[in-house]
Amino acid sequence: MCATCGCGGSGATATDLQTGERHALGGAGLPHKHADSTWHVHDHDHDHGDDHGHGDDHGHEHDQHHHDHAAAPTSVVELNLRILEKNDRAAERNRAWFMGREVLALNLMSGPGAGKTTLLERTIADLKDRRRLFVLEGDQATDRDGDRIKAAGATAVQINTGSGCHLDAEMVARGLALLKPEVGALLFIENVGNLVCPALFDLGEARRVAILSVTEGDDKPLKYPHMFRAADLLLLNKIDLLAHVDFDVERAIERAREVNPAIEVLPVSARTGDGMPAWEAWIARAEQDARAGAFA
Amino acid sequence: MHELAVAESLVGMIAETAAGRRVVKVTLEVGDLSCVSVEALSFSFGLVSEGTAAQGAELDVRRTAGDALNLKSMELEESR
Repeated sequence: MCATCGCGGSGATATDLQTGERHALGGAGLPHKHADSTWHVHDHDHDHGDDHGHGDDHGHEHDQHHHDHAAAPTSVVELNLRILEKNDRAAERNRAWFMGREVLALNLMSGPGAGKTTLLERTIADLKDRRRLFVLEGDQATDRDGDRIKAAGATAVQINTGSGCHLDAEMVARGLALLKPEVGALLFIENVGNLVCPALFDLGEARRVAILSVTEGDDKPLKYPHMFRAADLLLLNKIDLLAHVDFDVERAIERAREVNPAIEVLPVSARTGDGMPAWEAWIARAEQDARAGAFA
Repeated sequence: MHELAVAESLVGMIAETAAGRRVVKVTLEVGDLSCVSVEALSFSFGLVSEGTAAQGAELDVRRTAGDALNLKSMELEESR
């Protein structure tokens, strides 16, 4: 977004990797409401000089207004609204969309470099002969991961969030419009690599999967509790490297359960394939549960 | 910096409720488990609110237990 006036322009895009078509998400910037009660979408390449050119035609009249009436009577409006209500509403729409199409959506979250994309490549290689797989690939920039996923055999749309540090439900909705997963599909949403922000944004997924690699340290669940609290499953990745690092698997599991007693934990190595059958069985179970829930 | 997205959502809600009236004060509830830094949120609010109905409004943040992240109330100048 634009750091001078804060009026959007995050530069987020979604790219259909089957056609190479790139679409801007939210146009020139996030639309937001101004004092004159009209919605504006600003161009993000407008002039940010001292004259602050884009603001002159709107929104500044109330400045004079409140100087004139500094002592005007005020009233308090009780609202009690969730601040992320808009995202939550969009997430509920996505959830209903998934349910109606019997699509199992999994939100994969981790810090950068924990091995989300490698894990997905391996999972796709294992499952692609049995079914079609769909991936929404989130990164701040580049199509590199989306291209890897596509090469592995899944249908993919790359979402670039620009300056954004997480996917939100609206971006997922726009990505779905391009991806068009088929009825009964398995959909992986690979979130932006970040152990903090993605935990806060519901995307409408059925399950949240946190991935922690053994090279990151077994104290991460305590240092980043929100991510581990939000997750249904924790995949401890890169266990083939355990001999070379100071990572205590039992201690990591203990710490994850300290912040989230209900979290399931599966140790895997996306590189050697160790533990992958258990992860794939977990996916099949989640799918059964989601289907049972949809028809309950 | 997810506080930026939180501030954007907040400012949108404020503008909708204010309907052109000046906003004097905005009261929020931010839970200890909400994953939101009040400092980063205040900073982002300052940036994002510029040129909107929320510009210059006082941000009154009440810390609570749990994961609340709510717009509690708004103090508005009464329209004439």
